[in-house]
Amino acid sequence: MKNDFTCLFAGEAGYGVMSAGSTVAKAAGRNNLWAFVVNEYPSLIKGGLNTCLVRLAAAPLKAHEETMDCLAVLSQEGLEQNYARLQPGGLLIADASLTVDSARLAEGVRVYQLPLLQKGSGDVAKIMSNSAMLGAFCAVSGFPINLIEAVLADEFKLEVFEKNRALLRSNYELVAQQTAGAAFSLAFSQTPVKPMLLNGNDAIAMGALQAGCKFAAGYPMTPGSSVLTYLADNGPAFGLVFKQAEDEIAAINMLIGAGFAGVRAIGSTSGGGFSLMVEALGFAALAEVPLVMVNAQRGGPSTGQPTRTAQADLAFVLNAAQGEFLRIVVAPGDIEECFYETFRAFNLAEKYQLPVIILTDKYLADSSVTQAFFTTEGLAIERGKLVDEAWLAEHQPYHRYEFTADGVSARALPGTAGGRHIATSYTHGEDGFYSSGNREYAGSEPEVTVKAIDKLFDKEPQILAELEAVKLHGPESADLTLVVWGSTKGAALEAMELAKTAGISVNVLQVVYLSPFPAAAVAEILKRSKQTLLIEGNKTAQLARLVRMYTGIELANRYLKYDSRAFTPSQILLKIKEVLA
Amino acid sequence: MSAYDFNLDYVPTWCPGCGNFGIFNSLKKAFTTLELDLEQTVLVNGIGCSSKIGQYVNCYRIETLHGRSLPVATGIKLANHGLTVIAEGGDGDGMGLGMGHFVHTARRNLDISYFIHNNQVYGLTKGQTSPTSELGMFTKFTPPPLGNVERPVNIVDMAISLGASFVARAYTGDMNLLADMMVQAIRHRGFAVVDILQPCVSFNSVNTYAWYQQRVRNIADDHDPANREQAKSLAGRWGDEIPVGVFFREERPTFADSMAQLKDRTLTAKTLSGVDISGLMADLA
Repeated sequence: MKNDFTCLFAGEAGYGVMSAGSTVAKAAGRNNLWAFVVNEYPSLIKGGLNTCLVRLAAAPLKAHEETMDCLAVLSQEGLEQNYARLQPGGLLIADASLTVDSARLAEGVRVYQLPLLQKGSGDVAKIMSNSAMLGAFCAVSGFPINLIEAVLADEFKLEVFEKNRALLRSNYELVAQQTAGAAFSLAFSQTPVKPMLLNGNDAIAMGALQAGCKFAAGYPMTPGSSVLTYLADNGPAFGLVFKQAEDEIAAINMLIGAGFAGVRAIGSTSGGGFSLMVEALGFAALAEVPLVMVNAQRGGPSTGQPTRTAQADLAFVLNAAQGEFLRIVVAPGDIEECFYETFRAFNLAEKYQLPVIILTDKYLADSSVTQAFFTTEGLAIERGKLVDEAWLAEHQPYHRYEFTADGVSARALPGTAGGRHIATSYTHGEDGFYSSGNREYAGSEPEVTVKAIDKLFDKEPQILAELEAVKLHGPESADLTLVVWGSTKGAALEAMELAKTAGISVNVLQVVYLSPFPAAAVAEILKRSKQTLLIEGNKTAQLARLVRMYTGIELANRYLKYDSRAFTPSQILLKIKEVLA
Repeated sequence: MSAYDFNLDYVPTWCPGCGNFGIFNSLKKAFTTLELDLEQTVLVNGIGCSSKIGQYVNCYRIETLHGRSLPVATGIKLANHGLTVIAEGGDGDGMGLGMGHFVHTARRNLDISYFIHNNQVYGLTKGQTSPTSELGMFTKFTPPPLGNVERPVNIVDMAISLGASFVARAYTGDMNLLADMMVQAIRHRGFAVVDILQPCVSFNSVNTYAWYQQRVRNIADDHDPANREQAKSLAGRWGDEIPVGVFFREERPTFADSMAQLKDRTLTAKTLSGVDISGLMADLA
């Protein structure tokens, strides 16, 4: 028996296919099934093809698969594009207006054509199509309709709920007459979990609030914006102020101002917005102002593919801005890591007084996953060498950029007596006075310059010592080691399990922190790997280049995907077999 | 409190005769008049000759990127609205690269003062055309015979139009008026712009001290700064007569006034630990 079930809801933008999918996922999650939801949509508001893929299982899911057991479709285009993905014996629910070519369907597919598209004017009628679709979905798949009703009851006002429930029920009855009482193919577990349905951006925003973040600024850019939307909605109750800026340059400079003043602050963008922030990234680093910035990658270069996924900004964020400085770059691989690594990012930014970049991608940012509640006990706020008036009174004259063994100097916030100083974007000495051409440093500029730049890098050993920068998943020793970063983790871990079932021994090396690069830890694991397979969502193997640069190890077997879609476990399994053949 | 309290032991690097000395001294005079608490004052600079003023004044300072003083000042003010926040920079910094920020900061009406050192030329890069350079001006980037063919920005006129709630102009040749404009700007609750006319003795041979002396006129006492139309009309005057003084003033809520989160305390004063997100998690169930 299959232990998972995938349904794709497809239709034009504006017909609520995404909410259909999330309703099923939420209903499943509340009843101890696990869901993974992937939305695909073009960059437009009306028309085009939107799809929402919902994969359900009795155990936690880490990725999606491209094949499906059920296709519920409202538009001809949605049908044309997905014939081939519907598995033998699958279910096709199509609006009555569509032309179904049964010759293109796999063997044993059962077809249900019904009046799903709702007539009537306005968007409300359109959106109600999803309730009609869900009614049919429940009837053919056996998914309990009362669970769907319970979710709709929570999400809509009573009047709207009643209308939707009527549609849901009428379509359910219509199909139920044609099909003998189907039973849903997955067992609803009796083990209760406290599940949320959330995406990576939600988790990042929650991690920020947990970390005491009180200021956010940004400019809308898919797929980074929803971190800010979440904070705009939920932040005020936690005392957070969100400021939409006139552009990304303003956004990052506002964050730097807030960080200088002593507030924990976050921004979120995608590659194009991050490009505009580059000069200020170096400013934050040289002025040693804490900063947390999310770059949710999308297809590039330039405007690229606003709503599609990619992992092609790694080399860019590692090298963005002129000159040399230390930055922390963390690439969470799943929802949990989005939450906990964001929390940690704020501590790191303050302890080491530098910019921290959280590098995700559209797949992680935007895919919703059933997830147990986060455990927040033991998460401690660490602000590093932040000093108060009493400390300053004992340590005069105060120098903001005092040269220290660990590169980190005492940080006084504006408004603190005894801590007046200049923070600056110029290369500077201990007092913040700049080293170029002024008589104060005229005789010692070369020495001061070296110390000022060394200071930024002196923080590195301590950072590497405190981080779990790489994770080895699966057996200590395996026939093949998959090397991944970011959202590819999920598909790789599921592929590892698939391989195990097929009698193949695989483990997964996940590089969580890309800067400072954990060269020793990566080299140690790779040196004892029998064979490796690098898996990355870009053309030029950016992680492989890093690994070679820092360790001299060549990752020759590569599975590179830059077709605007995420990896799936089955695709990776095929590659594994190819490499080991 | 004396003006000397604001000095640091660093020697300004401006050219002898530079208008920035007058602005520096007027700023110290304004601080003295206001008896500003230096620990609670932040000076935010861009990059350029004028922006170096932050290196010599003994309060909290942040020297930002070229053109970016206003967004940094915005972040500081929102983070800790108890601080007195003053942004300073040149005409190139603020009206060139920083123009977008100027537009939106004015709309926002945060309680920030913005002093623009306007010498109508780029000084630190040694003499290029600025957004406020006169038509026909010869510079390194607009050499003879053509000179500058772009109309200059009128800072005062624009500030009034964009929504700055206090708009004044001063001239470094009259330091008493300049200090007074600074005092009024800092006292004003809202975004306060002072356009400070300043000769550049090295790179601007047109708008010299003599040139300004012949043209600068104090705004007449009968001008009502609450009258936007009158202020706009006055702002349009530039040529044989250049008005200085307060053009426009209005009381209106600042951006921070509209934020409930800032009512009881500043963001910097809020406790970081002990956040309970269990409600947020339940919302997603």
